Amino acid sequence: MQGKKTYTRRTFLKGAAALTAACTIVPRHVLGGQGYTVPSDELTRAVIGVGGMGKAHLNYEGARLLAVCDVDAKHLQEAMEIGGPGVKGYRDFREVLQRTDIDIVHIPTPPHWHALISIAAANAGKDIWCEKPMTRTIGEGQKVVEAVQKNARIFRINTWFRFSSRYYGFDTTVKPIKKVVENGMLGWPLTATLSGVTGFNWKFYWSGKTYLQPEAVPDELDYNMWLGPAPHKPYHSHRVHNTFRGYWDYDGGGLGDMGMHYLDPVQYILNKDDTSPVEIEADCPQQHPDACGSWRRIELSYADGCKIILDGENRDKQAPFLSGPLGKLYKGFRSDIPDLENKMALLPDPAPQITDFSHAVRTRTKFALNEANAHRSCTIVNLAKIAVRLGRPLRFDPDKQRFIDDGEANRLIHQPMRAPWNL
Amino acid sequence: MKKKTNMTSKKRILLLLPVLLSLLVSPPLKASSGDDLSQQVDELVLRFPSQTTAERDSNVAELLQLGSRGIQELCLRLQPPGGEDDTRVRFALNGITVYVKGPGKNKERTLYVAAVIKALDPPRNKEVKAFLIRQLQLAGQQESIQPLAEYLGDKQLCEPSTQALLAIGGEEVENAFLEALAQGLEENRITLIKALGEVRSRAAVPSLLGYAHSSDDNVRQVALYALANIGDPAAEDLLSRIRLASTPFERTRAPSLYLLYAQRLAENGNKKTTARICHELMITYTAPQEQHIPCQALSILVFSLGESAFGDLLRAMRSPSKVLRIRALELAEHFPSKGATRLWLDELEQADPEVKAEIPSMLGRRGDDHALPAVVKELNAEEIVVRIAAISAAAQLGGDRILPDLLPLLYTENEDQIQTLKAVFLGMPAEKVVPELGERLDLVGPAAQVALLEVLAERRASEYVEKVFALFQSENDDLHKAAVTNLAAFVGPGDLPRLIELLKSAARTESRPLQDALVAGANQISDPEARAELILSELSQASSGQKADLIRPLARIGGEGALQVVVSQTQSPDTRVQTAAIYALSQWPHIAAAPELLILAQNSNERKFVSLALQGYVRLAVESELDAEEKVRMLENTSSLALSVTEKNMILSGLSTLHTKSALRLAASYLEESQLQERAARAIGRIVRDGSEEVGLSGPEVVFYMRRVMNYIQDPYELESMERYTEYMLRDEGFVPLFNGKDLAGWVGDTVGYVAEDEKIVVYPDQGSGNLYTEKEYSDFILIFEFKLTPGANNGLGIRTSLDGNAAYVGMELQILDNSAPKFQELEVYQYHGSIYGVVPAKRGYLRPVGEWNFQQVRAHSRRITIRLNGETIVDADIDDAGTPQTMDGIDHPGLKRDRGHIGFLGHGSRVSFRNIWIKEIE
Repeated sequence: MQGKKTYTRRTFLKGAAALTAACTIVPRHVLGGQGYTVPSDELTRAVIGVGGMGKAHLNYEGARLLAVCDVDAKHLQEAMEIGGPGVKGYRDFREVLQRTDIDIVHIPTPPHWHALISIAAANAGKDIWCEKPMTRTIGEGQKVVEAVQKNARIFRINTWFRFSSRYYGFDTTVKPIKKVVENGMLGWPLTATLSGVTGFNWKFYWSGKTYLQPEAVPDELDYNMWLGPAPHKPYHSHRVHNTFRGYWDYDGGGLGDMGMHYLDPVQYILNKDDTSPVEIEADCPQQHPDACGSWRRIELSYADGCKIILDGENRDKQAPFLSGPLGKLYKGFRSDIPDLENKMALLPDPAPQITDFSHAVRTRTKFALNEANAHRSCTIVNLAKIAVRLGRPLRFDPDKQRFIDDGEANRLIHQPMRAPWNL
Repeated sequence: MKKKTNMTSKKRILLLLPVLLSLLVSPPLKASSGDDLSQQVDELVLRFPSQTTAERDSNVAELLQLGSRGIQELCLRLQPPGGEDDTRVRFALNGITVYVKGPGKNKERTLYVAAVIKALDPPRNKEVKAFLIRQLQLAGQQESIQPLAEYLGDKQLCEPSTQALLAIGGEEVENAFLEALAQGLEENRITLIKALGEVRSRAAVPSLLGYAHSSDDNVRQVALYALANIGDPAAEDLLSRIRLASTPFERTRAPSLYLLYAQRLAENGNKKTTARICHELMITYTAPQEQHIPCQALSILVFSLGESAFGDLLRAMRSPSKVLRIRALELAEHFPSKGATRLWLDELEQADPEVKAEIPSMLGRRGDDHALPAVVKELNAEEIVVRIAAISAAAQLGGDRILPDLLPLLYTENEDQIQTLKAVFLGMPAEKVVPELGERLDLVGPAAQVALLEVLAERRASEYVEKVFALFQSENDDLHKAAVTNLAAFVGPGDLPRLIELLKSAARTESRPLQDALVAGANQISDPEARAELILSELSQASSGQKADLIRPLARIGGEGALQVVVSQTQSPDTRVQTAAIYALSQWPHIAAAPELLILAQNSNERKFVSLALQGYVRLAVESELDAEEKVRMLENTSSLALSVTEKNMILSGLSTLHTKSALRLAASYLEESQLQERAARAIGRIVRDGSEEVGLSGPEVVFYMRRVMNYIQDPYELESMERYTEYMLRDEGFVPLFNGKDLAGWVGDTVGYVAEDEKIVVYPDQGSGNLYTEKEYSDFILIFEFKLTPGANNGLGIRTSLDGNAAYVGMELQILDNSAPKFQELEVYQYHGSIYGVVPAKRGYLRPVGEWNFQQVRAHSRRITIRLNGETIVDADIDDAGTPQTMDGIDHPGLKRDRGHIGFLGHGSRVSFRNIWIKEIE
């Protein structure tokens, strides 16, 4: 067993709250002028996609719920009941976007819709709270970044581990990990391993069925709209609602489900918010063209030597979460660096982050996890998906955001959409 | 080819897809007889899906060696939706698609694509053709364009072929779209218009202008998008007017489309028009909820015109619209030149306070050092908002160099300023910042003192401990409180006597932080046994209240001596002391405290003490270094106690982290209590899923627990994931389903009386009371299944039997019976449920109440038959022994001698249901 646990949550937490407060201070009397809400005005929101995850969004705080939208009449009905009399229901998200009294839209639809609705929302002047994964393809992500930035919108993804909450295998938030890394305590470059050993579960049961017998579309579902930009394939209940994760057309299995939760903090810790891996290799069984399957191991390497290992087999039982030339950090914040806690006390803290979304909307400040860095962490997920689907090593140019010498992989970056939908 | 498995290995590699094993039930697609190529294709197809890339590549290479005819033969095996299972074929074809686009495979690609194109030619089901077209979307190039273009006029295939053509790209593709559009078919119109827009076809513009007036919303939508994306001057008039257009959504979308158009114009060299359009929109859209439009327009101006857009940027920075100002500043960040910095600095000088506050942040993010002096100047601005922005920006630009400029700002009462400074100080290296702050700790005002104290505490600046003790005495409430709260960060072992004195006289609210300080000081003593010494020696002279306060922190200090004292104090007649001691014991970090805690839980009269002790005991069990089995045993020790629901939930939480079968069993015992059912079910689910790597946490027994708990899970999402996980577990173990959930494929016999419905096989006695047998025969196996009885039900499981005759004698019958029915109370022992009928009696008393599902496992290994019902072994017999010298019922059972046969359900006129029937053949 490696070194004793050296860092406890309590010792860390004392200073945390104060920091967050500091960076979000903008004196009240300053806020005024054209083009945004005075703090005392309530923010308003709509939720587009009120199935499984969408129901959870109905209860999020910070803005008043005015509208819900879904292509399944039953889901819509249930959501309207939960929302109460002040909430209007819609079948077509475009009608929601036309409303000038809605400030923020939430997008818990399946991933194949995320980019389309995000861009339409940005072009309609809405701020956005989108579910993870941010987009199904890298090309979509680039377009979302462009639209959000051009329209000066505030955007966030529904993952939060880079700035709050206990991070999986640790009793602490990511902040002390970032602190250790940023101050060079582990050296450079670093390798991060995400496996059951280090506290991450890859949920392989999100696999699709390869032989689906066509079924009748239920009356309450507008299947054509549910598909939206995705190719038309005969309806089967396993494609939709609770199990869409199993199909490449809509998502990417366990990688799509948990990838951003696990990998976004890693990207933040490794300070890679503005770049992407340059080499990707997957060890996996052959993938079905329609149904997602499991994988054994995926390795993504950055230009500076940093590496991310996704270990689906828990091959290395002694794996540290982070490993560098000067030290290692294990699940539970165990380390081989002696006296780490005392050493950390002397180190400067990482830059504060903006973590109150309503506040970010009001003051037009970029949120901690915004369109730019979320696109990069989602790109890690999408690169992994492509590597698994092709089963061969890939090289990626992080600035051009294209694969090198692999036309087929590039055809998976920008995938055409079914008419009339386009980005 | 026998499927290679690694099922026997200990590694849980969850590889398999459902199809593979379902093919054991439904036969593989038949080859046309006598055709050698066809047979070769059949054989190769069976190898898919491959388990590794290397395997895939070699399997694909072999397929490709069969040449174009072989590939076409393969394509012929594709089935339409609703047809037979062609999963392996799709794996094979897609495998080739991926393989041939690898490096150095161009010859193979050419061959493959040509074969796919040939296969596309004859009439076939549309979905099958769509699949082939999607292979061309990945693997096709120039040669695929004309063949794909032929489908542009087809209603269903227009979309897939358009997508494939778009992936291939080029002028020929554009022409194909133009030609197809010109045919004027309604059904493919929107697809083609959109495609022409995506390829930015100038030649399409004249017809698109016409379509932009269509009465069909979708046609208009794509035509307008296409015109915008193409960026031809001819479209300007139309696009400028679309915000007056019909649907509300079009009006909302209009300005963005117009701006996209403007952007494309600039890309095509038409920058003057771009500028005009952008300026126009910036003037027109002034309402608060429309501010994103001027932002978009400004962005396009800057992207298209570069530095010539400076003037616009500066104007935007002075706009009354905050959103626009901020966007302008964001765009400003990307102008790297020093000249740009100069402009912003000039702007900074003249700007209004609100704007003045926005510029420094931008300069900070830009990172240009030259801006630093101007930003530092703003540190002394009159307006607080400007000062605050300047503080953060200066720190970003100058790092700890600007510390001297920041320090004077500490002399303020403004809370916002203080907090901003604090955040900045925390981001600076300790060696620079600590001495400066420590020096000023007693010089600044009280609000700032609190902030400095917190920073110094964060940095463990113990050299200032005396100053902190001094602040402890302060009359200012906030200051005093801050000193107390942060004391722990400063003290050392030498401060212990002082701390003990303070603790003895402390107010209620200060007791805890002082205990924290005591702990912090004591734990710096290197010898663990010496840490508590001073405190323990104080105990004897302390008063009752003081004793309690001194005992509480002992749990965090530890040591054998401290433990002994705490244990003895748990018997103290003084309630305050006793409570503190029990509380401390329950917090003890070392397993040494566990036996005492258990005794306390067993013997204490006070409920709250029992609860505390139990909490501590469970925590220790779970967090200790013991192995999982030992931990479960510790938790089992609590079963003799009378526990509340909360306490049992605690134990369940602990159990859910232990991945052993014993943990499962203990958790399952809680399923009997209705208040605990859902928690127990989730704990079991968690044990199984999180323990997926553990050897031993697999197999039928685990499946049994999973199936049982699924009855108590409400959440359909959770249920689905448990269902899938269970299926994975079984397949990984080598089990295959005997019943596909949908129909009686693989079963023969009375398929009228036995009906497949709702994923079950249900016996309808009025429709038939014959038997249902597996088509296949089995010799040695493990069979698992679930069954549900109705009152008085009588059925049977036949094994190693022939298809005719009485299975009980020509094979073996394992009785299925409602033991509780009044009419069955006088039966022979070998007639009750689970018995090998007439031969071996089963243990009784393990059936669930009638109407609930039961889980049964039958293991037939050579001469040994073992039956487990709902987790209990009810039969474990050697059938040779049981039949010698004669069977219990005295009747001849020749079937006992058989070593293989069918498995069957033996109807005796009762309504019974079966589900989740799986089998694993064993050597």
